[in-house]
Amino acid sequence: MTKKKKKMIRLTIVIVALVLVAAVVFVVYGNRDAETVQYNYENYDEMDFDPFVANEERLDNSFLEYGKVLTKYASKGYKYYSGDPISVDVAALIAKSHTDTANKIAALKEKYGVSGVDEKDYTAEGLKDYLTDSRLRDFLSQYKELTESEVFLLNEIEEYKNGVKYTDKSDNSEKSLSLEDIAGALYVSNEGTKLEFDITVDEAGLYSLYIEYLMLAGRDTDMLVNFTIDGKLPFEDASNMALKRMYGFYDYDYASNKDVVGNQIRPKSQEIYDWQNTVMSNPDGLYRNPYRFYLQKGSHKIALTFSKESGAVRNIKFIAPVVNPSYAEYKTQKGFSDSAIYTGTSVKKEMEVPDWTTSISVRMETDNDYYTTSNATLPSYKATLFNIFGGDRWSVGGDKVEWTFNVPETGWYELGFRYKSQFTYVSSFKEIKIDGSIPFAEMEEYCFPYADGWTAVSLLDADQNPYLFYLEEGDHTISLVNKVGPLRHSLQRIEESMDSISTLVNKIVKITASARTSSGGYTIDKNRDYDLQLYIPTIQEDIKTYIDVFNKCYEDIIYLNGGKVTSYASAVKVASELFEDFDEDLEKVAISLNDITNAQTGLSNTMVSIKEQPIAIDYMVAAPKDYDYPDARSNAWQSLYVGAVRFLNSFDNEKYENAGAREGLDTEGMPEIEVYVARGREHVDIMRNMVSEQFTPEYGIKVNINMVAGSSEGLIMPRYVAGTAPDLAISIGKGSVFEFAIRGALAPLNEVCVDEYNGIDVMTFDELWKNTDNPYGIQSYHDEAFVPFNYLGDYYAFPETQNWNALFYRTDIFDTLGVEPPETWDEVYDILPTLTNSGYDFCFNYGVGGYTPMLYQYGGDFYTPDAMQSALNTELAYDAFMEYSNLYLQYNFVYAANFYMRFKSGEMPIGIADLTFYQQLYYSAPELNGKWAMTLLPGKAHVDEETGEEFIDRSISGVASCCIIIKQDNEEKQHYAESWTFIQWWLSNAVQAEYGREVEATFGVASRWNPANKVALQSLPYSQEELDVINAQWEHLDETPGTMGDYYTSRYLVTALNQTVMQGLSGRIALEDAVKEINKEMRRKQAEFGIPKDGAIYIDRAAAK
Amino acid sequence: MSKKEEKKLKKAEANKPVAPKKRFFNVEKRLGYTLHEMWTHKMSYAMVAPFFIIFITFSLLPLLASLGLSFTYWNIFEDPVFNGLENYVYLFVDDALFLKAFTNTLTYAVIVGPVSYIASYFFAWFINQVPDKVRPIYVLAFYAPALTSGVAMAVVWAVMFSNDSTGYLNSLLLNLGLIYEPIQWLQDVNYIMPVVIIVALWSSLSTQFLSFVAGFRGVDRELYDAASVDGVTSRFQKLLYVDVPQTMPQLLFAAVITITGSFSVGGTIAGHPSPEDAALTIMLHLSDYSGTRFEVGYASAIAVVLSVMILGIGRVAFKVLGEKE
Repeated sequence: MTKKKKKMIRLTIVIVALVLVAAVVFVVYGNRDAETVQYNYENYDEMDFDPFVANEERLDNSFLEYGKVLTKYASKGYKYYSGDPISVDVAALIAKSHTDTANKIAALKEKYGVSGVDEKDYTAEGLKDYLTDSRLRDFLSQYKELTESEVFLLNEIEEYKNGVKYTDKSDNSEKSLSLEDIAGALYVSNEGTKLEFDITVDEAGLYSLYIEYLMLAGRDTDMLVNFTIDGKLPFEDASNMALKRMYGFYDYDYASNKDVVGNQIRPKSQEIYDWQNTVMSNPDGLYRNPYRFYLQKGSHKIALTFSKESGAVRNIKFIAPVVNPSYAEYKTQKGFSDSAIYTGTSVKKEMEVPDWTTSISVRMETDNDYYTTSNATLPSYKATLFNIFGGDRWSVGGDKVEWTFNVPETGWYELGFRYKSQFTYVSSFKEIKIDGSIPFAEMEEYCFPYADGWTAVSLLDADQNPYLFYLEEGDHTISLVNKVGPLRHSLQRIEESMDSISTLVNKIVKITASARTSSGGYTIDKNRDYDLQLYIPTIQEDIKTYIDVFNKCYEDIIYLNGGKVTSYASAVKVASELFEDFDEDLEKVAISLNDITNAQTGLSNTMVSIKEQPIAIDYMVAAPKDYDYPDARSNAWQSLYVGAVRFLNSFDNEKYENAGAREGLDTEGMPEIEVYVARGREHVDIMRNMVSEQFTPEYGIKVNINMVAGSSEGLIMPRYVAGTAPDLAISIGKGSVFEFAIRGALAPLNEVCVDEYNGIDVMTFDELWKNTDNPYGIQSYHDEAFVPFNYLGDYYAFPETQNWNALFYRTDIFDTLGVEPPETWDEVYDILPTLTNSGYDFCFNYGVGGYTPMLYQYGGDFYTPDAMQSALNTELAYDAFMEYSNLYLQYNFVYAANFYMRFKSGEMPIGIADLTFYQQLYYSAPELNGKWAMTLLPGKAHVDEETGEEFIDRSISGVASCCIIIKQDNEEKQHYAESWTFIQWWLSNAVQAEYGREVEATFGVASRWNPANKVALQSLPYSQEELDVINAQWEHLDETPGTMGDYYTSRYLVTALNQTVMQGLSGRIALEDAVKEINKEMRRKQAEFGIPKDGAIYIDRAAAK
Repeated sequence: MSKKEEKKLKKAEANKPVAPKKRFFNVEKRLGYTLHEMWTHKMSYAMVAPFFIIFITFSLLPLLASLGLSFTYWNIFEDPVFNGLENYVYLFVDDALFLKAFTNTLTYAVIVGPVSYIASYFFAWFINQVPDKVRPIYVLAFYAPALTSGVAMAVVWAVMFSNDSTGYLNSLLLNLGLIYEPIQWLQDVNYIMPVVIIVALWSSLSTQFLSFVAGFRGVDRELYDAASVDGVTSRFQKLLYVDVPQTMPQLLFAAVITITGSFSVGGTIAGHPSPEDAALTIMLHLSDYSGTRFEVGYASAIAVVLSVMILGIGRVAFKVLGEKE
């Protein structure tokens, strides 16, 4: 044997050995068992006082969090009330309100001498003959106040005088709550209803508040409750309690709800309108027990203010707080004996379909683990099945879900779940109720310990012994409510420290006089000493406190997650190490402000993560004692097998083209249209589903929805040239419409639209646009939204989505500063000194997008009215240009800031942003809820030349995407009528509203639909104030018409802006140069399309009429 | 002599005396002769066919089509219309931006081309000096930047040249106290082109570098000994008198690659449109016309001019480095 061969053999042996070791590791690792170990933890609601705030500031409960108020109660030795409930007679209160209001109005009429006038005429117009101006105003405001404070019974409201009617969508039947069902209930309007009453307390003590309520159709958000005793909040959180809705599921049977591929179609959810009862508690599940309020002996004035959503409330009671027995007590109470333990076979309950949930976005999910089971008789990996419940999105504290299960005989059962933790090393806390009440105290916040992958285990105590539950034969309900658990203390401490750190940073900045860079970082002179200890005497002490707090939190987080280091703990560690560093050398603080900012960002993310408690549940088992669970965690081979099966299945291309469309739809002989949609898969699935359920059966048109990636414009072009273009495309960017239209590739929608198809009436172009047949009486689409799609008088696209912008501001900071959000730019300049003094900035990001609203607000335009030339050389455009440049030149606005991060930290308490920002705030910064508001954009004040009235122009553009029909030269391929029928269906009020709701339910607020349809917008889950702002802002919509060579405008405008703002050149020269280039290109393109110099591209049809 | 060859020879001999067959092609004529020869060597043609089919369909035909289209107006959607030399007239007389693109491209090519060419050669030479076992690691390390996709590259360098104080370079300069305000690397007209060139240089050790590495491996070791005998002592002299002449083919190949690459530079880290068109290159100008303005005829004219430029400079490279006959 040669040396070489020997070497080769040696090498081969080594390689084979390595492969074998790898395989063994793979198998062993893959087959390891997911261990779930329950552990012991302390759990109480009382919270420590803020170590950074002096004692005096803690005196008033109204500003203290509930946990601290509880501590105060405990220190004073307040006892739980234990007597009978104190009820409130709502009906009598309402009757009294009617007589009171009538009397007061009569007195008011008397006082102002308008008794003779009909009440319908109580308007500025109707009363102007009777009262002078100032008296008229006084009278109207007092009258308004009186009528608005009157409260009504639900059945006194016109809409509900015959009961509450609604459609049960599962079988399309009309259902109703009869007059008897709703008798004696207070009506709550979505604009807010305040109920005031007196109660007499015989025994001082801690009470809970019990309320029965009914939610009426609205925008899928919670009703908010504010509760005051004698005009004061018992604690801060009492201003923000919530009454939640109920959502049930239907169409979840796999056999009748699958798509052409065999995947299950997502079951639908609908709201259940029925009475619910609740004991008021923290809406985010922050506390273990419901709220307790301290009521002194004597008479109290209570005010309950309900807002945000409409509904009804009855049976308000102050009850004795429920104290749950311990497990040992529970066993004695129920007469536990070994012989009563259930010994039969285990009862399995699939958990994917709950009876109801409190949130529209907590739903059934899919899972393809080998062992995941469902009611469908198919293995989980053969098709996409909705076979588990919960998952990532069942994470928000306070979300409640209820199931019904059945046990065959009376006895003591173990209850177990097959569940999966969603985040690595994160345990999950849930409140467990059986038949509506918590069986024993350990279930108030039960910990589902972290499991690596799926695990099936009984509810265990800290010694790993299963709890036994006493269940009588028959049906029972079990409900799980997300809870934050004992980490509430860490949450609280981190939040307090962050507040304190922000204050400290502000103090330091005042000493170091740090400036901000253009992107918001601090610049600082590192070559000098600042003697911080001298100016901030408490600094060393504070830093030591931060270190203690962070170390404690870090330990708690790890301990309460079963000794595992969760990923969100690291930010706390980082912060503690940073401050340990500072503790050694105080001078470092001054030069590390940016590090502090980063640490704060990390901490605030940690706070969000702590509140999330997601798990996914597959099934529940009611089992005999010491039940041996079947395998729950698939091993490596099974996972590999599942992957292979799914991979091979994916090759059936033909079927997958229409995945998502309902199976069993007969489309034989129907005309077919092809639609391009550039949206994500789940969006398209929702759309396909709606099309196959509603559109195709109704109109008899088969729709082939083609999901394309990225910009579909680039794909349509080559297909158009090849003569195989799709019939229509939706979600097209507004920019390319004009380019396509001038080259004759699009069909003019106002020409090709039809008024009936197949004998069914369809909306024409104008009807779809200007239709006002809706409860709000508004036009479906804004006139201005059509401007970009006009070319020589024809419209080549229909707006589909529309963005909105608003001025966002931090109400807490503005309250502290004592300033109002600005209405005009001049007011912005007025408040800027106040903001800057306190180290705050205004956010308005730099670019052409920022100049556009300024230009429109000045009354200028990008182009001349015929769209033949640039209009940027007008005086108006120049003034707007200079004002915009001066924001950066004179007022030192930040060029490009991460507004979201800095809004959260409070450094930029005000700025202009859009829907994306709104979504971010809602989704990732729930801790800011109630601390911010949005209002209309600041505008430019004008005086109307005719009437002399002042008005504010707040224009901004908004249209985002649109629908087009592509021109087909081949007459056989033309499906204009079908295409239009589809567009008018898709963009109709009802369909857009339903799609918006589905998208919201699938993705949550993070992906809220932004329809251009104004009517559909009204049913999205915005609050009424938010909607008012968006509606009002949309009134100021101003769009740029399409022109030839318009790409040059933005290009040269950027150049002009850069020259002016960055290089400090003369704005006028820069703008003139830009206009010269823009006009040259426009003229060139016009010549290309044979448009004469005195022609016109943009013909406003409304003006032509 | 193997059996096979014997057989072949026998066959050939057997065929010889037979009178010429009546042939399909008229061999007397030149074309016929060519076709006949082609038919006889059909296997060879079949071998090169895959390359030629692809080359013709995807390189030659588009080139010719582009040449033809450069005399037309074509907006993709409608049929092309012949418009003579109009495109060229506009290009040379009226298009101010083309001049800018031309200057930028030339600046880029003049710096990046030679620098990367020479750097490639020297790095390849250096690497040739290291022991065989570790050489692949060095090669990979130097070649890796060229492998990274444009996106990855842009991300990495965007952090480096980020416009705010958190960008690595800005941060470094601020820390050293050399600047007081972050420099707007990708916004300031004066810095854009240098930044683009630096990034391009970083990733420029590509194909030519590999060919050099291979070239050095191919140099006969005995030549070094011979050179030593002839009195060559320093490594540099070896490079000059042995390596350079021995790697002439690679030098030519690399020159062509480098020229083509540096003149047809398109997407850069500065993006498009860049501030005041400071980083506009001919390729970007071209895609601007074809993509944004749908003027494919004019874009073709630009492409033709660019091709002619590259061809011309390529000829020069051949003249200098090509084999002298």
